[in-house]
Amino acid sequence: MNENKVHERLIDYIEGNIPHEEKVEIESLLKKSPQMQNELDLIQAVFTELRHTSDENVPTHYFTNFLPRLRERLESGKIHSPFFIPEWYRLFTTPLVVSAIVLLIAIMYQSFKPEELYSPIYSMVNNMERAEINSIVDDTPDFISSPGIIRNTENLLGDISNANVIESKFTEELLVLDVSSYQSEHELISDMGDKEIEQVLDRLDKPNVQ
Amino acid sequence: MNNPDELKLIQDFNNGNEQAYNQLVLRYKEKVYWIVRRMIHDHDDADDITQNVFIKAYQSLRSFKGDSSFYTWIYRIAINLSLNEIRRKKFHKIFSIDEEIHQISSSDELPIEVMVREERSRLIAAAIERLPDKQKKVFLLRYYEELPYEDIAKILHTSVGGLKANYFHAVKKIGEYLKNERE
Repeated sequence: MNENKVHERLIDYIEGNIPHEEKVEIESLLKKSPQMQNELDLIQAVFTELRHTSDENVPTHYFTNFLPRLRERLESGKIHSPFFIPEWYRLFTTPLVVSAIVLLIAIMYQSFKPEELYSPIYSMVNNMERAEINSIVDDTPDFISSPGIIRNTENLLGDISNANVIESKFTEELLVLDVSSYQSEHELISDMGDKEIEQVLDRLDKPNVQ
Repeated sequence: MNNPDELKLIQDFNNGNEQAYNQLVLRYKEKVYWIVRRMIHDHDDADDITQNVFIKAYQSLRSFKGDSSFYTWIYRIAINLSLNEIRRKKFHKIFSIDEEIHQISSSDELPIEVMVREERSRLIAAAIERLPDKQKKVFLLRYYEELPYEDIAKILHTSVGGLKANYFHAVKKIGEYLKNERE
């Protein structure tokens, strides 16, 4: 018997939960091992001691009042059963569900929205070196191709002083390109998103471009 | 194994019958209180924890799958909440010794027999408190609750053989502590 097994059996021996043959075996081991006998004495002394300790006091009627006090705590409004649905929640259930669905759709749309495609005009200007842009602007001082385009361009580009020149330049460059899907330069420029225009203008709106 | 009557009470509660929950409380309030009290010692704290045990049961009964018996389940909650409280108290004890001083001075006025008994109880409580968590749980469930080893094994998720060894060491450590304190 290993040490753990002896300890297991010793507890069973003290508690009287052991078959007769094992009881005899344990008693034989106890005779041979003073250490084991000391352990047994110590354990039996503890159980004797435990039997003489007073049980701790409980206030009178404590157990009688336990359930009413517990129920009071449960019903105080702070603790609800898992099935409880508050009144206010019931009133707002439909709007809340609708809002949640709308929010979910918005989040999904944002997550799966395809990347914005850059229009050809943006790509073209963005790929140009500043020197190239400068040279184009310098080479074409008077550049207005049609009043319609200028008006539209001004609307698009706001108050930036050189908007006409820049936009006209774009228009000219685009005329050189074979952009067959566009009916007019106006249409092509209009295709640029606000963000694209801002990015182009950020790049072009430098002192040395003027 | 699960008591069919208790399973029915749990099902009834899960179907919205609050009386079924009351029945479970009435059935286990004393057992839960005493397992907590023997770990915590102070009545007010034990009362608070016992209430919390039943509140936790109230909130979680829906998740009770019936894999173990209800008392195994609720004892586990009681032991865990008590151990949390013990840990919290140990932390606070580092910063305050007022409580201990008060206990000693208030016991000065008691008759000698009561004092001896109180002192014995205090020593045993101190010895139990010093046990490692596992041995403490095993000792309380076995000695005070008189639970069969098989049930304790279910509560503590351990083997019966291991439990007996733990119980042996717990009792031995209590004995050694008492011996050392009296020498």
